[in-house]
Amino acid sequence: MFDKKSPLRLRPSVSVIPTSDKQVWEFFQSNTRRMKHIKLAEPELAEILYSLNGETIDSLMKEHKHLEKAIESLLPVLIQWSMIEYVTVANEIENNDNYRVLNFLADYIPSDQLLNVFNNLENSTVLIIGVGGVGSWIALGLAQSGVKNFILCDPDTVKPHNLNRSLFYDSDIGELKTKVICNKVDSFGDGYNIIEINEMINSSGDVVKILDVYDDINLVINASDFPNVDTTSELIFEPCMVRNIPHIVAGGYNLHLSLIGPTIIPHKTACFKCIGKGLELQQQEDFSSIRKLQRKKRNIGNISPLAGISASFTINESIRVLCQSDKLAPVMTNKRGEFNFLTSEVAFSNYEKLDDCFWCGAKNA
Amino acid sequence: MDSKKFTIEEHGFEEVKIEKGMVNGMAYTGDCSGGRSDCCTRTCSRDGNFAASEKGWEQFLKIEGGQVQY
Amino acid sequence: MIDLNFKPYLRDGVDVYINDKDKTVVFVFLSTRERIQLNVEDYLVKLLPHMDGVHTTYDLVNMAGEYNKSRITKFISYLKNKGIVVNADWFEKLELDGNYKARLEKQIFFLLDMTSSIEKTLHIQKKIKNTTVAIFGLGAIGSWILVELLQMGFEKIKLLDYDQVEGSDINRHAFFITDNIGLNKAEAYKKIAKKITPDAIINSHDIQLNTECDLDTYLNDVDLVINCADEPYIGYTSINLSRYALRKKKLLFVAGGFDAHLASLGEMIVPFKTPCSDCYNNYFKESLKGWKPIKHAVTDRDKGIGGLISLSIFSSSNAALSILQYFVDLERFLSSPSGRGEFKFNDYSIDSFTVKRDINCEVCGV
Repeated sequence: MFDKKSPLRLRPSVSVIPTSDKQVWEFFQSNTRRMKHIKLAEPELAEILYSLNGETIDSLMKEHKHLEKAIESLLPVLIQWSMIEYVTVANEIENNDNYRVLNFLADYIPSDQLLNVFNNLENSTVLIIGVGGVGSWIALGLAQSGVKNFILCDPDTVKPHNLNRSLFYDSDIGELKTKVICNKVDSFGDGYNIIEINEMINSSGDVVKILDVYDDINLVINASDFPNVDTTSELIFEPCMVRNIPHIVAGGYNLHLSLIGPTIIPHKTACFKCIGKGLELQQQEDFSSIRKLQRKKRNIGNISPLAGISASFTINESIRVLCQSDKLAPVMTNKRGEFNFLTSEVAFSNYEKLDDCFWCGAKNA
Repeated sequence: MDSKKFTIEEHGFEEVKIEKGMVNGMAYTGDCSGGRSDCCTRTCSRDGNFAASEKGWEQFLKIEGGQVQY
Repeated sequence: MIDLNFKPYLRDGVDVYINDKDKTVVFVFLSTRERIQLNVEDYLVKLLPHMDGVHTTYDLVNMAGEYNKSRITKFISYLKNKGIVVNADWFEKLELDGNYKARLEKQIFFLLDMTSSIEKTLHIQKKIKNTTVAIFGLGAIGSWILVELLQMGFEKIKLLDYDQVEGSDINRHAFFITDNIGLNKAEAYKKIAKKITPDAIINSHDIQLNTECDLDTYLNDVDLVINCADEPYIGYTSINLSRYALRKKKLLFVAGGFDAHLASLGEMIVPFKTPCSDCYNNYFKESLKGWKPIKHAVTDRDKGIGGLISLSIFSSSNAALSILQYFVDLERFLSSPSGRGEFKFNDYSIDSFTVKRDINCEVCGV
């Protein structure tokens, strides 16, 4: 319930703007550039809102007796809509080095739930498979956003040719990738817990082994691109489906199209296989009567900006999943995207959770 | 939050859907980044800094009509 | 004409589709999606899988039968000219410093896919290596741009910032380290840059880009200026730099510090070819006439602003990508429209709009 005795204020990143209709006011959230329009019976109400800085619902009701009912209804709604915040929560935010993430999430999460939701994010455990090209960006990005617990799985050591896009120093050459990331995360501050696994994932069994030992994983991110991300996702999806662990396919690209997503919430959204089926149907038209010349070990190049862009999508999705709030659901469920670096455009394809899917179909519900 | 249950008659407010961009009588969605004009910087910028150096910069750059919008 | 010792290698960035029925072969360039469709006789199609960088042209001629020698060499020559096959040891032979080449290997392969020409690829990478860049503002955007420029092979970079590293930078800045808290940002990032690329030449300056700043002192030898200086406002610093850039014929990229636009896609300013910052200002002034904001209830709002690292990375990566595209294909770059864009976290869409050169622009108008 809403605390009527706790001081409230207009969130610093929210603007109240008059519109051409004297009764309608725009509430604009500048972090996420979203807005709501509210028609107010009394202009006095608008003034209360855009001057709101420390008053309580109770005190406002007393001061503006003729607007009692409106204040009592409206202010809780504005808390729910993330336009106003509790001053106590605001103070906690300001004293936290993570104030930017907190204020950003607060565009979605109401003031009274914000600190709990951020707790969810901080205390999550994320398994990242592959901490190279895109994986290094994801690991560091999530650690910098508050996530404290990581399991990093990568058998490789840093090579010179990794330096064109993985977040490694020159002096990291020869070191285990997981160790390098672990050290970098530790330099962000205290409180991080990182487990390193230096083995190659060659089978689903390898994934099962990890998930059996670490049974509190909130999210699995597949950022391993050897030999390609589809092959490795094939190994990861089933153990995750069985254990109900959300998983994200990160990275992978086909030269000018950087692939994005999907995010899979077991039994709730299209799974890896549902999407695979969907893809099969899509690709059938293209080159049906033609054979593709198979070549082994193709050295397709890559560049730093595409690693960054790919990682940024995964970081966004991961934060959404880890907050565990229905106010901030993942976007890349039932979807796959392609970022075209020639045009800087993103194109999404939609997929459906299939009723007859062996892994998540209706009969499994 | 189900906003439909709040009406202006009973509660003194209600949510309305506005045609995108028509604010203050000006349509500026179509031409501006992100569906909202950069003018929000005027409300969300760190006011202190801004006010103090505005004049200095605008004189220096000799901007016709004063204000810079970017 | 090609030598019989030439070892053709079917480039990795080209997909090959063979239609045995009508004897056509389609080569698809993965990077650009361009296709070349040919009618090819059987004995030549059979050679394609053997263009693996191991077999010489002589070997291929023998495989097919001596009597087709001239046809075979012409076919291979054609494929070479189209950038479909290359010399197997093209990368070893590429004239670039060994260490640099080793680091940039994957990008160089990428550039070859983009250009289909070894010469162009070498030219582009060399140009990058020799370009001097200046970055104003090593914040959320500037720091990531620095990282990506280094990763793309830029080696001469000047860093300018008057601010210090803070604990809250953790949420957005590249290579944040608690040890750097309190250091001048330009100096802190010089240290980090040298760790990423020890051979890079990095200068740092603890200065503010204000009205008193003499730009020539710092920018005289700079080819590309990147503006992420948002104090007091990105508009002021950009117009200032833009006018300088036009006078001195330098490249300018306005990358960030767009207040309240957390994932903006900024603009490259190519003197007298793209709109300049005054053009951008004129454009926005028109669309934002008469805007009167209401003073916010909370006066000290510094710590009330939100941000996410992923959004900073997105902006910076787009900036780095634009810069690379400028170097890879200037013509194509200039023919695509200039403007501003923004990534929206809410649904991952990208809004964008075009800005044209203002013919009445006081600074760059005709």
